Amino acid sequence: MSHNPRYLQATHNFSLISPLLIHNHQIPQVIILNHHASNFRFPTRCANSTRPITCQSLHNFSCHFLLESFLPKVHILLIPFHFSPIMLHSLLPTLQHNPKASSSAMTSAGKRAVDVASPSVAEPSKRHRTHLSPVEKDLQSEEEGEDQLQAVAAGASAREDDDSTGLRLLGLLLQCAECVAMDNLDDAGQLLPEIAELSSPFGSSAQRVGAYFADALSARIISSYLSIYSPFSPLCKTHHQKLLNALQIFNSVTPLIKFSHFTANQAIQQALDGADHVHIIDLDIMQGLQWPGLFHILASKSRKVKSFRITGFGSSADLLKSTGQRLAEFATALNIPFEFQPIEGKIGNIKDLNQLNIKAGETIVVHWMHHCLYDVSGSDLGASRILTMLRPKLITIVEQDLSHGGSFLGRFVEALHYYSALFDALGDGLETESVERHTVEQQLFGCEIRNIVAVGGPKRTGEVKVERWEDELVRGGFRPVSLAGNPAAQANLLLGMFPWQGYTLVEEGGCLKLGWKDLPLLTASAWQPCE
Amino acid sequence: MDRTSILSNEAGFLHIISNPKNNPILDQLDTQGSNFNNQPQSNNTSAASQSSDSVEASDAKWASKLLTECARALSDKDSTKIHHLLWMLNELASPYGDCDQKLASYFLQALVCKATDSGHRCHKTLISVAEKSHSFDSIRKLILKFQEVSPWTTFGHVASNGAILEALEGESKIHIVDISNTLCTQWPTLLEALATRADETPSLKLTIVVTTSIAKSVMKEIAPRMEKFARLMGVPFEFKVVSGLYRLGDLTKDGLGVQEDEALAVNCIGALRKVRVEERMDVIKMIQTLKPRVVTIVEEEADFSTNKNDFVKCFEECLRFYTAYFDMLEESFPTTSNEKLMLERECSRTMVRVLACDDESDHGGENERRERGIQWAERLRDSGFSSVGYSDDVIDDIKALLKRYRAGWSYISPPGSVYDSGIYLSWKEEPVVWCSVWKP
Repeated sequence: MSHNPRYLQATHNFSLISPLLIHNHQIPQVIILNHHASNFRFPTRCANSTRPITCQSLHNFSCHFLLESFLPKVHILLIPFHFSPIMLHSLLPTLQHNPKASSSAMTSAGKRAVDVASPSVAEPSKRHRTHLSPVEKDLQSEEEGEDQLQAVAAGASAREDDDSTGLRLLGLLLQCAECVAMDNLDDAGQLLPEIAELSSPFGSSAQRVGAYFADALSARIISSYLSIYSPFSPLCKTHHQKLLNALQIFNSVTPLIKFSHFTANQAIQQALDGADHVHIIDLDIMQGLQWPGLFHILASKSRKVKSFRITGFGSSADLLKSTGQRLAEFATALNIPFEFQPIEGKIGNIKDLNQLNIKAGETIVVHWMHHCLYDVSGSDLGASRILTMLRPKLITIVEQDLSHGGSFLGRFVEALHYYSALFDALGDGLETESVERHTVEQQLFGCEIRNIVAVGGPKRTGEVKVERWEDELVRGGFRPVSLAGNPAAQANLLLGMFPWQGYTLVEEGGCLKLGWKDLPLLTASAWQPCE
Repeated sequence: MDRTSILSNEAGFLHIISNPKNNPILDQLDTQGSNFNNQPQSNNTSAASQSSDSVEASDAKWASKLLTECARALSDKDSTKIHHLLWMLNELASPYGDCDQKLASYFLQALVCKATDSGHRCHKTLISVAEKSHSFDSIRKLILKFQEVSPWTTFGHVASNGAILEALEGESKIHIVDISNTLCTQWPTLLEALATRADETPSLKLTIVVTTSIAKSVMKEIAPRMEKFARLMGVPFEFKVVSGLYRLGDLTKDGLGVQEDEALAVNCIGALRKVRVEERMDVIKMIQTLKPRVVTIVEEEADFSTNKNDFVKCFEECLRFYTAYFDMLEESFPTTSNEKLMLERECSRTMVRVLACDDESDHGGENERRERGIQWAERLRDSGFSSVGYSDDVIDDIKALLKRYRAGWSYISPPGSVYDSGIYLSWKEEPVVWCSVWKP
């Protein structure tokens, strides 16, 4: 069975890609992943030898997703156990006729159902030989299974071009990343032209992902050659404007930003219940798009606040000024006594709480929406320290489900999964030639991907990075506030209101996770100090 | 809070989301947002800027300034400055962004190749990768799309076809030797013109000499198409492909199948620049030996030859030319065009070739050292050719052609001068393509 290229079973003992490379790039119609296989080996051809790349911590879901986006026409079944080849043969024809039959086995493993398409060509006639012994009967059903599979395969040769490009691109990207991880910049550089040629920012999802990752790898190789790793900052006004414009488009075509705003504002307004003096500290305020929503919530309450201050961190004094002005006008229109305090800098570089100008009696809320466009905290440990010293009533955090530290290869593979999902989500509803889609992809995703792939990750420094803020906040003396309830309801309403299908919302341990087809993209959480 | 009160509190809130237009406050926010984006740019002179250079990244045309400074630093071998500028360019560049970002990205590649002495290897890889991925369909689609949105190539076709038809008026046996990589996109209109001539339709023999490896690989697909088209037009037709990849100068009358009773036209589109500089006079002399009635030459208007030993001057000329070219591509194609991307990538190969490779080692004939029209004209005159002007009819055809495209295009016909000949296609007042006609 393992040498039949039509379908593969991959467990932690089997290689996923090697049969494809070895057997003349034939694409399997079905790839069956073992639920417990958390360690996939991707052998690649490297100058006549086959060396495996080990990808650590690959989530089954995300691997499933990655394969789906690079090989959109391949059906992927997730099964909970190590099925024997014979059982597999008999399973597949059943599925083709009756997809529901074995779904119970799979749903019990917690996987979502994937439809297996029925064969597009006429089924070969079955031979009925009722006088066969049980063993022969098994063999007969094996043969029939093969026939039907081949029928499926035959009808699908046209789709193979797309799939083989996607597969080749994936293989080359991983190979290049491995070279970079081993500091073999020369070989990595030699692979890039081919990766670039196969990819395009105006092609399929896989080609777009390939284009931006290739560009990111190229930038990294050059900066490694120069041994200069810091980002070019501060962003000048033109670049800022382009970024903000792209964010506005992003906000209008996906619910990610609104999700962050709405869930956080719900949690915040609960924490502000009964508070007279409010002080919000936004660690990365940008245009302050989140806060008008909160103004409106507060304005519609019967009990009005006596003062409302926002301290906004940012890198550009000009931008902070205009954000402050805009928010002030909004607040005035709603009769909220408002004060804005701009801080040009980063929270992690604050040495002394006095710089935050905290007034007595204020209810403090800290909000932080994470991204990889530029470094927000300055120093992660510094930020953590300030938060611990500050002990605000509430901290709301929205994190991307991406690791910012760890090994380069792990970061690379995780980012590949993450952005495959994000590119897919963006492409859902926007056409291939959409200029808006291109703007978001090039300005935002491209920029983030560049930073993730760069030396030092998005922070672009060798400083200690906080791996998971959940753990760090617990260490800092905070405990989670559950977002199940109002924030979850709000998020559900939001998703229901917009026309997008495919976004998923999961509540897990009090956090809210927004995902694209089960791949988590953002996690919103809230924290309060332990007594 | 019970659910009903939540919902009633949120009703107003939700109202904003579902009916944003009815909320005057959100309207304000929106217009303020757009006002912000329309604010005039002011020079960013904040002291927080890391660059100690005089260039601010907020300047328009920042790419041009940074690139030129970097070229100078490379030439001066100022290692610190080189690294600093390459770093800035690397941070700001993107092959998928605006014109400045694209120019920065592709020129950066060439500069890094120059700095690391890896131009040859890089160029070789780029060419082989492009060859592998291009097919007849993809190249043809590219050429046709380019012709649809820009007169860059069709200008030369129309001018040359017009000149050839006029020079060979009345001839019954025509032989055209086409030294180009246009994949015969020039010839259908000529075939049509021959078919609709008032007198008897002449026979046409077309001998194609390809000069790039990429074009060579797809020529076999062209033959049946051309033959079919000629049949449709009712023109007696013969088609042959000759590979002149390495030594155009070695081509002979016999080798090309030129016969005594034929009226010969030689058509060179973008071919002369592929020849090594030292061999160019030989090639022109070779054309003389074929005894053509008319020679049509089309070349891009740039000089990468004169200063090939002066890196900065060569770089500046390259930058000038490709800035105009990228600007033209940006305005001619839609933003999300794969064809535009392919053309930009082709430029990147030339940039590496011209800026980071020395000419000594043989490159399989993929030279790209362009010369200006005035330089080619001198060479042709020295070989005994004399220039022929374009007739009014051909000029009318050119005018009609340019009208089909967006604004920005015009042609320049220099006043009759001993030293200049031919006409130029110009983009935003800058001459970019040179066409001329010669007879021995």
